[in-house]
Amino acid sequence: MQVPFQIESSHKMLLGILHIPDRIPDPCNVVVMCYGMNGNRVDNNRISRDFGVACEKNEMIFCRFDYAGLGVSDGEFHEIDLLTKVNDCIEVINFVKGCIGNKDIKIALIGFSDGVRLIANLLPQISVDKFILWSPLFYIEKEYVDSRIGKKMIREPETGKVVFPFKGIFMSSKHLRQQMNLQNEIEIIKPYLDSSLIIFGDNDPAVIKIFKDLSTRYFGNLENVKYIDGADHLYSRNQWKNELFELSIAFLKG
Amino acid sequence: MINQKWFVKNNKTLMGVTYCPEKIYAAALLLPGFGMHMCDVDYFMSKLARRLYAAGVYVLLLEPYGHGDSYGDLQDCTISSLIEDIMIGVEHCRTVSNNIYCFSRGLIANLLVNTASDIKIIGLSPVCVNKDSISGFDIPNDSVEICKYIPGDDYVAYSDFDKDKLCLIEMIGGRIRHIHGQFINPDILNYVLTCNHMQALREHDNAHWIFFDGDDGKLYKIYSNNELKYRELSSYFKTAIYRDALWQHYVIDEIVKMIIA
Repeated sequence: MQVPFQIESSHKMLLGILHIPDRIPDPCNVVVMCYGMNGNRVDNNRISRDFGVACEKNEMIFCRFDYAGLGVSDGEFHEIDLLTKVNDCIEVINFVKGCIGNKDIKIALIGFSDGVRLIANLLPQISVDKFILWSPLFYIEKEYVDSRIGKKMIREPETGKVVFPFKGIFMSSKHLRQQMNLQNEIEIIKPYLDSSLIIFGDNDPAVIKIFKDLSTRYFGNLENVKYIDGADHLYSRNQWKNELFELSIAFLKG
Repeated sequence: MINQKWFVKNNKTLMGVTYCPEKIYAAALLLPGFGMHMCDVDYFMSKLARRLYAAGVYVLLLEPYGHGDSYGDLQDCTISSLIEDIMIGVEHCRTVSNNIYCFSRGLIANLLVNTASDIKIIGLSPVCVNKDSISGFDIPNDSVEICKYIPGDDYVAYSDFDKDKLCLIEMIGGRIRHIHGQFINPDILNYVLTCNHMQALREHDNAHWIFFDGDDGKLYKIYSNNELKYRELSSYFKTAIYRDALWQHYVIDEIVKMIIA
């Protein structure tokens, strides 16, 4: 069952979909998707929607929504930043908890790409039982920034605000700074990594390199890292998507 | 006021988002490029919807069958199912206003010509190539995963992709990375490769077509039916929807002006 919902967060309407299984076990897993920088609640190859369907089949509740300024939710992209996304996640998680009421639930988060940074910012603020990182990207090394992306700030035509044109969207300078620089996310996430599963496509060299560098310096030897043969950053084949889902569902059920 | 709801008809369940202003000047049906979520590339359709809504236009953003949040798989999406979905959207818009506009891009923009003559059409980069120039493409017998029809892994420089097939995907409104792991129905390819698109586009009297145009300082140009000319397949590459924030802003400006004029 897919139930659309909309809630207000900082004067913006967030639009989402709840996947609810036919039978809700007790306790019940509630999984919330935190996608990356300029994704949406469906995402490439409908990966988020299809994972919701897989969760339904496995008797888990799955929640996917658009942050303000992204997808179909209210607001413009240049009005938001990393912290507004974190606030949106908290509002949505509280909404879902409220819907389920007194039932015993286990909250799990999925951080897709740089959605890992949202999870790091959420962990001190909400109680999370476990989380999964799909292709976690903590920051973008300058050498990997697409050279075709311009580097000049311009004025957004409606508001006159100074913004960074990133492909077809305007990004605020604050958001841009956040994207290029890590805060204390590494320190925050480190103690929680035991209750996580980390998945990479093994054909995602730049992202794997950044993670391995961080891992060597901060995390030590992690045993909960899985690789999918041949897969790219976004798991752009049906087969890779299915493998990603199998690993994720097994971890969530375990 | 923004709202999302299911549209249930003909055994299909489609997702739509509506924007309802207090005073309604007109109604607009917006459909994304083929295979895309309703917000479309760089949230183009969401940006357009908000601007129209602010100008007093009721907007229905509708996801065709097998797209985005709508039920079904892309492999079951055919030309007739797309036309049916357009009609579902138009029917809803008729309950709101008699002054109705439809906007889409790529292949779905072409299919808007199946609407009644009182509907006003605006299409961005519709398919407008001479079928003889694309006659060399193979049409599979069954639905095929797009990554098998168009193999390739280099999503940055596209160095290992068949360039013509990449252009074909962009021409119909898709983005390879967004749809590479989905299946396409041969009916879609058969239509794109065999239809007389120029003739089809001219079938609707009340239509305007926007194309990227490098010769114009604005980098886009609006064409009426009698100004249409065949385009090269390669001209759709990276320009079917140009991923430049200012370009998208000004094209949206133009569409809003055409609707509230």
